[in-house]
Amino acid sequence: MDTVNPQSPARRALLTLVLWAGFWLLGAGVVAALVWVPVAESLYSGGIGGAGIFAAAGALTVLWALRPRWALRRRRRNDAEFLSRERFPALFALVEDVAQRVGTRLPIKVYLDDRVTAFITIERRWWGLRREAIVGVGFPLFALLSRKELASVLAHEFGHHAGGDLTLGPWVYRTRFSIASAVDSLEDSAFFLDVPFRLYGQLFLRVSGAVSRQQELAADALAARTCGPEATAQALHKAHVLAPLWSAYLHHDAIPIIEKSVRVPLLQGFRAFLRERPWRAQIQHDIDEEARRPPSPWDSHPPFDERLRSLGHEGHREGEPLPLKELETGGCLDLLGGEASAEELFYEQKTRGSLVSLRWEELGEKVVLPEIARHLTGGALDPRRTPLSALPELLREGPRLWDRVREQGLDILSPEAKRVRARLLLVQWLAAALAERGFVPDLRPGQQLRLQHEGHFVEPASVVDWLIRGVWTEEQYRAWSSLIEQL
Amino acid sequence: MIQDPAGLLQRIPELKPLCEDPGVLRAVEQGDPFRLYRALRWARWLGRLRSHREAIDALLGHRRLFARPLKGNPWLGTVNGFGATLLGDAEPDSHDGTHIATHYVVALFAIPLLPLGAYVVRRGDGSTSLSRSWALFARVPLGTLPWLWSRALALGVMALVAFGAVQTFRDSRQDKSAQAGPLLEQSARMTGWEEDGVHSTVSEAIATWTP
Repeated sequence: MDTVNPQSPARRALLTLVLWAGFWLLGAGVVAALVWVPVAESLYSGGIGGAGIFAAAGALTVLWALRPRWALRRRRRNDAEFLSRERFPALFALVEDVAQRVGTRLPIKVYLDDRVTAFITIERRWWGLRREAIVGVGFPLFALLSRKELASVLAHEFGHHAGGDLTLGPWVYRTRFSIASAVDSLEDSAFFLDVPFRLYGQLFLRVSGAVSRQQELAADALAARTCGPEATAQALHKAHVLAPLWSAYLHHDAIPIIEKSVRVPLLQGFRAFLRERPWRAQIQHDIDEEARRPPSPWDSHPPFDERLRSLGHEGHREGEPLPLKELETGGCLDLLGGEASAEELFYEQKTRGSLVSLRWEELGEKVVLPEIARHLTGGALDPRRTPLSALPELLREGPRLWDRVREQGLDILSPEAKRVRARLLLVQWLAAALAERGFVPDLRPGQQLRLQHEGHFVEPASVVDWLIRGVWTEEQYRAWSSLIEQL
Repeated sequence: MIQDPAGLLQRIPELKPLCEDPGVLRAVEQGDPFRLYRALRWARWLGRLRSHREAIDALLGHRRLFARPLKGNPWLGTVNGFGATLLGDAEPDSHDGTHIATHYVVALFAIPLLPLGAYVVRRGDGSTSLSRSWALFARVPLGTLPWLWSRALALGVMALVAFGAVQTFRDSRQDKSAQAGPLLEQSARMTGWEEDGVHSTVSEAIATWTP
């Protein structure tokens, strides 16, 4: 906690203002330098020449790139739906209690996010005369944290308000947005006009990232003073360890199902996801990538170990068991009326239209396989017409198979990418072909689809993989497929 | 661990071994396919990644792999033969009938002056030699020659602007010294410094110190 300089808020504010002003000074400087050429030519050289015309065109281009984008900001404002105080009185009581302890005296709106995260922002109305704090709390946090740990997360967020970070936030956001817009507009100018803004953007991200990391440490310190360092460290630890797992589960397993207008028990699925290992290769890859991501000078948050150490805790140790006690006991889901009510709320907030409720065990048979069959039936890989023994031959086709069966559209895949997609397609085809022969699908979160028939389990992805890697010869495969045909 | 915000490694898995080159790695991590194309091109020209030469050539021969979404429709149209149009018919795809065309500023309808970009396009159904319509699908990097041409032109224009600016700056200084000249002559007459040598020395000194 000692790493946070008590004088730093004023310095951070000054630095942010300097960076904001620096961008506009840079823009004005570039425009002025370009405008000066035709003006000076007309004053001192007797008329505007080619240099003046090009410089004037450059100045107009830069001015156009620097124009404020008010319309975009206005459109984005009222997208979110907030939780109602009447429906969730316990949650609002907790939020307001923490806000009071930290010293925030603003009206508060609560927003439900779908990630393992929390945030705070200030909504200003009537030219800043009326202000409301909007606190976003991730749905999974209610299941993963205890009430005290959630309070520390809220205290951290209100700490940003108490520390004045939210006053600076809009300046940082606007400057970042302006730089990004300018670079985006100028990158096609072909005359290197984007170069100064690109370089300034890198400087800005580096410096504002350092400012932001200081703000995070200060907010952590305030949360620890308000709710205790133990709860704050525990909340950080759980969010750090479980966020990549939730994200992988949500994006690889839950969202693709929800997009098919199906409602599944989210938290039950997440518990099953955490129990079943090893995960599919793509999921494992994403989780590893997130876990091993090196710190960057542009990060808005300090590295996890540094945050823990600033709270007087040791860093994370490799191989520690996952902190799942709250997930098993229900965490603080009672703030949302219990697990069922919380999931009801999640689907109300995050989905549109009517959904069909299904259990995870039903998905393979009622959703996944029918969709694969619908996709393949009548095409070049019709599971009814293509014999199981054709798999080695289809695999040998490689990228040509993808070209043969892909839907109409722009071809932007390399040969290796086509080969990978062709293999995935063959996995789906094998699953559908086995289902045609009486196999029943078994889909578990995080796992490959497997099918079973009278106690025989087959994982189509593994069969295809064995053939590719030579674990099975083509003869062995054909012998296996003829056995399957006889079942 | 390689960051891949734009999914370039999924689109082109062959890039994984090429990421040993810092330029290629940086382009992948920035998620910029055009920068990636240029990084590969420079790696090829500078003789880096020698052991992957064939793979690089194969990738560079397919600019569609480096496609980016459209940001808006490019301006197309000519007035008295001058304007902008799409020229060229590179990398045709018989599957979907598309090809890559370069967006040029042109003179006399078809003489390319300045390449502005390259696009995956398909000719519209009602296209004739006099009236052409296009369906545009994506932006792709410029081919090597148009890119070199556009960079050379851009550098030329920058040099022209810089030269013009320097010339104008010198003109402005001469103008100020010209304005200072009569005053100097008047003061020299008042102080009796009529000799040429003294006059020119003071005049140069004033010109040098004029801000």
